[in-house]
Amino acid sequence: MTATTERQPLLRADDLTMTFGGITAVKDFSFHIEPGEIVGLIGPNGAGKTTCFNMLTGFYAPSNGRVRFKGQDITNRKPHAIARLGLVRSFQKTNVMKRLTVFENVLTGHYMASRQSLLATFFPGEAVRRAEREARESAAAIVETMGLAQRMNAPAHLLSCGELRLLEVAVALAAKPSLLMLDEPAAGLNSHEAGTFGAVLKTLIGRSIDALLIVEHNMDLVMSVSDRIVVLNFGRKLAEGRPAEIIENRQVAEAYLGKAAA
Amino acid sequence: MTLERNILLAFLAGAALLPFAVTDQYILHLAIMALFYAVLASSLNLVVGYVGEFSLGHTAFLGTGAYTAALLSTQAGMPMWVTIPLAGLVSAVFGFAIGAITLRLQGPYFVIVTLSFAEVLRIVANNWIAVTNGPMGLAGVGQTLFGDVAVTDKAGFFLIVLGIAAVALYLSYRFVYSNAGRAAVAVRENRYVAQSIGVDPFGTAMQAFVLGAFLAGLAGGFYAHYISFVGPEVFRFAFMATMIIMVLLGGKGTLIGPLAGAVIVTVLEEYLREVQELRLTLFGLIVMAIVLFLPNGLMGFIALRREQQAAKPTLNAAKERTV
Amino acid sequence: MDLFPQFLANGLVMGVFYALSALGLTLIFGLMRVVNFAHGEFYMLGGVSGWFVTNYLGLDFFSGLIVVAAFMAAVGWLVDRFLIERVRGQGEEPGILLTIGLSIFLVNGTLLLVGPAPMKVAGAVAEGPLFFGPIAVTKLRLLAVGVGIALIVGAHLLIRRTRLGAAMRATFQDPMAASLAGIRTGHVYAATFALGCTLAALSGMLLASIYSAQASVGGLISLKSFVVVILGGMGSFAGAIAGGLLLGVAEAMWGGYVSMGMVDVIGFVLVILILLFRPQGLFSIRTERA
Repeated sequence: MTATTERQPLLRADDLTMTFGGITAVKDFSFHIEPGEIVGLIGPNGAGKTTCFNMLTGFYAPSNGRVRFKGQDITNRKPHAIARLGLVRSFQKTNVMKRLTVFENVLTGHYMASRQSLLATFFPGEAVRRAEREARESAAAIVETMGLAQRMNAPAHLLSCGELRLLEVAVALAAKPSLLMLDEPAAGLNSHEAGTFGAVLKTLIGRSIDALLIVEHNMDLVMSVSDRIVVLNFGRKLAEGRPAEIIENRQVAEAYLGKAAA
Repeated sequence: MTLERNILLAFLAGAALLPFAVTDQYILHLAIMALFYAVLASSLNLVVGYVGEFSLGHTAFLGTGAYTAALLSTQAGMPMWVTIPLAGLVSAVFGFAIGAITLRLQGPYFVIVTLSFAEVLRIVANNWIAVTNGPMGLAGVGQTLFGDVAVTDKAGFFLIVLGIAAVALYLSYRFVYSNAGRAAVAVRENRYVAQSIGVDPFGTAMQAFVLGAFLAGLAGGFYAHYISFVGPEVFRFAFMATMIIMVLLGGKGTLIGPLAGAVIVTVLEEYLREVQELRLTLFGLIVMAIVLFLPNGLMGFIALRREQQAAKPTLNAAKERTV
Repeated sequence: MDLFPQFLANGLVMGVFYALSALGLTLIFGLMRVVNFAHGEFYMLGGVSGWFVTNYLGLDFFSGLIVVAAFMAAVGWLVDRFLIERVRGQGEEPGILLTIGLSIFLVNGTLLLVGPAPMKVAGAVAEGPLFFGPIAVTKLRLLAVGVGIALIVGAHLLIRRTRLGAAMRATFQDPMAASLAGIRTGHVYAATFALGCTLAALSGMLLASIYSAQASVGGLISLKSFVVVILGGMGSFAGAIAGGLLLGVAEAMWGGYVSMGMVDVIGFVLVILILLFRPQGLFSIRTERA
């Protein structure tokens, strides 16, 4: 018993399947993430990547299959309950709280660290004040880490596209995740911005987070940051391996470019 | 945050001096009504501004509080210091029960179901004659504060409603600027992000909703004693319309907004007291005008101006980067 | 004597008017996605203007009906072009607030002009009852129900068989594609809103010829129309009719067998239950998509 738990991956999905009214979006998808890893999840548009994200984080209830995180079965748990275990995600379309400032966004992200009883909300004691102070300090530090210090008090709706992406990651980091999952975090970034972004992501492992799962279309970015890559096509796992192996894989090239090109 | 707190404190301190400076009963009555509405509007604002869903059934909690206090006073002869807090608690329990159903819904469905609940309560109050005395209502609600001490003048009632307003503003302030309040704003702004940072949207909305119900119940309890009569009218849409316009005019999602809205609208109402229909006709027009031209109310307008001032240089910087 | 058939008949009569009003709302709420809280006020204005044209202008019932239809279509068109248009595409909340404001304005404006007294629309026929076995129905009711059914059929034909109807369907399927195909979607929205408004108003006028119009009746009608639309499934034509009849019958039975005073509770309890257990409506088979 003890022997098996020691060797358990951080996240493990078995035979995940999702059907929407007869259409199968994801079929029998299994994979795992080890602590310390950056895993890239790639595939052509409509391959089922975001559906996977939604199943792993409780936004969809899978039609079949199980998800285990830190040894616990989290299948069919509510999204907020999963987040409280340390699995935090971002969303594909820009998702921040637009009317709040950068700092307020990241401070709000500290929700779990500063949860308190209703009584403490109305009659805050020293503990609450300390938690609040720590949350503020931590929020400022995260904004700094993500390189947004100059925009600390700007409302999010005034940020540029690249800054928004950084803010999304900052909000997710504020929730102190163990596993961070980013859905197309570099969409809309130019190649220079994407490069900087990738460098920031690599520094997070071991320091702020235990592992990272990233869905991304920017191949340069995925190939440069990932330790391992999983390829989805038509809702099924097509290939899995180190970036160099994936680049060489004929099937993957076919899926992306069509048969003729391969 | 600090600015908002200081303005609220200054407002309460200024109000506390009023009964010593003013002896005119009519002005005191106006001030009492303004504070009563301020509590009501603040409580609605917790739902509208911090749950982010539009409740048309807030009169349910006003009415529940008013009937609770009236029944406890007329049937059991309880004094105000017991009846008003109990009115708040009973309303909070109703808020929990109604919230458990309505907070699963969003948008138009939430609006319709909250309105339905208020209507059901009004019809029950009208027909359950054994308890509510039907359309005749409950008259002769007592004016004892505690023991043998009775509140006999407007100044006394003013101090009581001021106390309730202070409680309401304190609780709202603590809630809004707490972790729970930030969670509520997160749910309002972006439900998905909120969930992904561990916020339970339903539980968070429930806290704001029950707090709103509690405060509306306190206001209702006070109203019962002050007017010394409660009838099914407390569930009427006219109260709701007044609350809406106060919150919208002042600016939802701020603490000062509903307060400012309550004062302005109470004075406006007084000017148009003789002509109820004309007053409400104008209110209707004002609501439409606010939605079209001032969607975040007066406070939103002021905040926007300040934000534009503050953001001017950074706005240019942002433009340079995106170009 | 068993009153069941009589209650059923009364319920069906009321149901036709609920259905007619709800049809108007299903166009506005179900298709256009405007949460129109002023719907009951359109109904009320139909009754009040019907009273005005039959009593003050001395028109007969049918001419009056046409005048009211034209007038209310114009009102609906203007409301859409000058108010709803400005918040289109901004989500539900501004529309909700705007129509709440409009509703408050219309009720109290009407109270200001004509007062709270009931206003009777002059009927087309005499009051005498007709007997069908154990059921008594007045000629007036029968005629109003007949006109109501004719209007429902007319609205159906308008949507299914005319160019305007085709443009409507195209616009609500995909506004972008429709406007690219040369459909002036702004006009289609306004026309749909006008049609919805007119249906509510005519329902109000027909019912005011049986009972009477009252300035303050709108709020209840709005709610009941929402109840019926939600009951029948958003935007469903057949659902609105079935929902309307169901509500009419349920109220008649409750009023007949249980308690007259609490009749209006039925609709609200129904809507609370429906939204809790079948938010997609009773008759909708569409499954919810994630």
